[in-house]
Amino acid sequence: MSRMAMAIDLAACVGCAACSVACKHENEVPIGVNRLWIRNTTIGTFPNLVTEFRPEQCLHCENPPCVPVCPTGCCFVRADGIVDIEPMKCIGCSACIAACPYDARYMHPDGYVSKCDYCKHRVEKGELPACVTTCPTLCRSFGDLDDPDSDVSIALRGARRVDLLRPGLGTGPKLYYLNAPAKFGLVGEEGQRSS
Amino acid sequence: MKLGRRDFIKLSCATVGALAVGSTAKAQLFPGGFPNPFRPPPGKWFEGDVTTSYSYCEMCFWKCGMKVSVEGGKVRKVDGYVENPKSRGMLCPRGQAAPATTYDPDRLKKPLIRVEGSERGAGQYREASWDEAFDYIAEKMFAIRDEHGTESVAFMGHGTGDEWFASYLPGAWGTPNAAKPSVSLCTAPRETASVYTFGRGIAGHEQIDWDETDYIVLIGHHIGEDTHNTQLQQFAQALTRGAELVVVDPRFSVAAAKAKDWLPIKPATDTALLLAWINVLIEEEIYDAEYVEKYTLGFEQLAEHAAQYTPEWAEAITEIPADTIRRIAREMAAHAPRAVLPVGRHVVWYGHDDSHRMRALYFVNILLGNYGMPGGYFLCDAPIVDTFPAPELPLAPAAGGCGSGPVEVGDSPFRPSVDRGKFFGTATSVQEFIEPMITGEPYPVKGLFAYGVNLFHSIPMVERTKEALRHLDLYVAIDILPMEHVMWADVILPECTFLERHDDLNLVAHKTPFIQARFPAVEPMYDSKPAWWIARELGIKLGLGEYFPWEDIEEYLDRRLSSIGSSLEAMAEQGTIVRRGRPYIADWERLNRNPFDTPSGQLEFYSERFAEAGLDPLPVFIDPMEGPSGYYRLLYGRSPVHTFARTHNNAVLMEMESENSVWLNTREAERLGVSHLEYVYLENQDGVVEGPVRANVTERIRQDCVYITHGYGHKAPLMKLANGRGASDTHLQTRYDLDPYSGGAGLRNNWVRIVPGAPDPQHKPIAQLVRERSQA
Amino acid sequence: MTTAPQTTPIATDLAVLDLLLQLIAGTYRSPADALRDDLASGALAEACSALAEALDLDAPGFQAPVWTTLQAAYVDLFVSSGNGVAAPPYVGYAIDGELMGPSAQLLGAAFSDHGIELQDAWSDLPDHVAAVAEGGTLLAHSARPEAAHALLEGYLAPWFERYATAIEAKDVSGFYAPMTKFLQAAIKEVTREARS
Repeated sequence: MSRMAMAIDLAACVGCAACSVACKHENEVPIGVNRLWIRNTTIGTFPNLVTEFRPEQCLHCENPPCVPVCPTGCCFVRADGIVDIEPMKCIGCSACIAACPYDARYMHPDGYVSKCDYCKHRVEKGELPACVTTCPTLCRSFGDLDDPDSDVSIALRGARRVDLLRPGLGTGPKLYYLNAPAKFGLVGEEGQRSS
Repeated sequence: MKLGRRDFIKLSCATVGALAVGSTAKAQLFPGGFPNPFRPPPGKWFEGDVTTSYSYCEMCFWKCGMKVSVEGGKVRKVDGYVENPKSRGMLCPRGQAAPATTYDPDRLKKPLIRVEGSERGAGQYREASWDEAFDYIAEKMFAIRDEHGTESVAFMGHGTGDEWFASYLPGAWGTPNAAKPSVSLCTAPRETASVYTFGRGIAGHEQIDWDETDYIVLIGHHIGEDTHNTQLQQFAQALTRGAELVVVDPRFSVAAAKAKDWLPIKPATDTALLLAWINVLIEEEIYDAEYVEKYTLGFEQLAEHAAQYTPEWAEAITEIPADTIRRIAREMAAHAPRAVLPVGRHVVWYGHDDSHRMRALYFVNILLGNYGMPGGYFLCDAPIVDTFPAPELPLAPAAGGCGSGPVEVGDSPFRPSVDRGKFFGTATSVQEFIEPMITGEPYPVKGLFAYGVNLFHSIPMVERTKEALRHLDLYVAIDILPMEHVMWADVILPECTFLERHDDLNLVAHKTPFIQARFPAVEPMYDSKPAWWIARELGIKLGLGEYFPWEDIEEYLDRRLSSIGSSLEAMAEQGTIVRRGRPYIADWERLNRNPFDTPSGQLEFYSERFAEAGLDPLPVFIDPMEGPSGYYRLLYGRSPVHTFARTHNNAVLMEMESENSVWLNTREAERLGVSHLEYVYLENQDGVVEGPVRANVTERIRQDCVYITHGYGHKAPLMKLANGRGASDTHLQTRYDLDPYSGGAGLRNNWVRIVPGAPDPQHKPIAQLVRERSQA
Repeated sequence: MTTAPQTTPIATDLAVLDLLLQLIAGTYRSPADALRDDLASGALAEACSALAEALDLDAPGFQAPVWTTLQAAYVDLFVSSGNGVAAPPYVGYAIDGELMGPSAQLLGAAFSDHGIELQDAWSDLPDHVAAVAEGGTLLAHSARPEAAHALLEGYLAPWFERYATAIEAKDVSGFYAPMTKFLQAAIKEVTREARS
């Protein structure tokens, strides 16, 4: 058993989307949908501004709302904590897409639901997910939360602050945002107006 | 149902020559039939038989080393590799999207010759064999040579293959009129300033010692938006390490979002700020006196000259408070020599001012004692690999990379280049080739090769360029995509993409100099060919075969690599050979060598050579050109997912950012009644209109300027994804100011007004265009 | 890999199938001397009439086009020119919306299994419509009519379905539009007869 998780250092991320493009080719994600994307928000007034570049994707929740709603059991949590989909069992009913509060799931044109799987095929070989490997700002850390020596555990310990996306939902995301640039944490969470 | 006349009819045109019966028929896997193409999705590529090969990226000029994964005869994925000092195992979005350019269905496929009697720009072509295309070109070139001389053929190139088309072939043919836009439309001022200050070029990849620096001041330097991979990595690592960042920019750039101080400077006044910093460092005696004493020439003249440039003087010009100017200068000094003001890349901003600004920037660095010191600028040279033995070219080839000088005709029988004498520096100015095509002065330019250069999205005054093309006797375009300017050519030669070809070795000046090689991952698609092959075959047609004394690129590369004890086979296994560098002055002093190749052997504040030429020997601030009332200065920059105007038909990248927007300050937008994301037109001072383009109403920019990212606004119907999206800055650049030192074309002297109420162009989503493209 | 073996008996006369495939190959190949000769000699028109008669269709009414007009139209419709290529000539692209995608790979493998190989001198993609049609004639000649038929129905017919309208709308040569209309009708007729 392990709990694979990711941490993204927002102080380093510049929102260049290398992660998103790497994911696209690695996982043959069709044009028109994405497994990961960047949310780019500015708050404040000239010249006192904060801009946050925030990559978003499946958070591999500990309590994933997508899993229990699946009528066929094709949505499940692997032993390593990765929330996964078995496309051959998927009937394309979209219940999981509706259940995910983070919009992380999409319908593949071939009629099944898909999303980030932390590049499980790479992780199984001891490699890092494609987005982690390619990131030119080295803002992503990945590994097993239960292993104190994993990259992700080290990154979490060294962070100035750690935020979760919409923690009030109780989903228990295993994707952490480190060092958010705004004093109060992630922007766009409390309905701030963007500028 | 029977054929009436005879059983079998044989049409000769039905022999296409594509397929033939071989001897390898397998057991009948599909007895009596063929597999049904409409089948469930195949397995993932990474579950198949994947092979990898080495290359270096061509999605931008940074050329990061990459590994290319192929499965089922198709490139599936590219990655950096850690042994390569440029990618260090990582790639930017453009690099990652390389396969989508190779498999872009809009690519050029066959050599094309413009239909006799059709207008240039009308886009009427017929297919030709390579041989026929070369014959056509050679005949026209000989005619130009006989009437006007070899110099009347000009070459422009950009990309790795430009060594063949903007240096070697022009040198063999005998024309000094060969240029790269990467000089006079990009780096020229920084190079001239560098050569005349340090006695060394900046040359290629900015030599900033990011790993050692503690304090960074960026001036108009868009790290994070220009995604120069290595630089971005080191920048991010420096910040993570705790280095402090100050960003000077009229816009709250991505880099500014990471800064502890953002100084929103009034555009075109950067030189005043730099001069004030020089003033503070000297007046407060916080410069590195020991370094200055040991390594520089002309400090007294500089001190006397800079006395006038007080922070209060600069405040009135730059709109940055004098106190802030002083504070930042003191902070820099406190961190020196591990404080650095990195040189940017695209520095042709205001023309008359550009070389002054670059020299002033270098002077601040010298006063901080950081040039050739840890945490400042490191010193680097490209590794040396012998050229392939060949007869000496009639004219030494040097269109100039970013750092090198132009062809000096010297005692040769050739006329100097058409731009000679228009400015002081030694570069060749691509934009200065255009006027002679129209006027014939100082002598006519009647032939043009454009290799990988987008003539309508790089050179200002687009209408003048089109007019010039109409005057030519021969215009050849070598490219990958049917860009608008390509579809004006008399002959179009399709190059294959970098994933399908060998190229020359890439010799990189770096802290650890290195050599990297490119191998084809797959065979060229269609009838496309690599640059080396095109140049060689054309050279042979032109009677220049003696300069290409090798049969193929494998022989050429293997011979070159043998000079350093390597081989093509060995390179195929390792991709990169890394050398040791001499990054710091101490490394040179240990060998009793002086790295500064100036006449004095010192870093020169005061330039005797400028003085002798009647130019300012020390940098000065010149009042910027002002725009008409109601207009905004047009600033432009980069998107992290695009390169120049080159990647705007790449489906994956276009989906990431499918149109640009014009950044407009919130208060100006309120005044004009423009709302966020509304479509507007941009009309420049000469009445040229671009758009519709979305308004990005934002706090992130000053009120006196607007900003768009470069490369959008294609007017090329063949590029089905790029066509008609956003606005083109180049088309709005209907004037430029020539830097009298470097020959650079200052492009930020154009103004636009916002015209609200443009119709929503109803752009289709990229995914829909991709679908429709395959469904006509 | 899923295969759908064709077990339907082929009613179409082999010579008719062969002629249809020849006409597709000859029409959509890059225009060169052989096509020019077949147009000038009337051989192409004669072949069309023969096919039309066999299938009870109207022969295509084209005038021998001006050669340079034909060349320009070919580039315009199939290569790169004017306002965008009307009909990318790759059958896999018509099926998958992707170059060298799964259908093109399947097709290449199937040709190879039938002992039909790509020639070195061919400088376009293997699933170019003219190349595929040429492969079909080879299958027809090596007495594998079922395979030739499956190729016509599975790979060539979808290309016509996707692009015939665009070719007919954008052709300025007066050759490609009527030929495409005729060939599409012929394909429909041949595949219909095969099913019946």
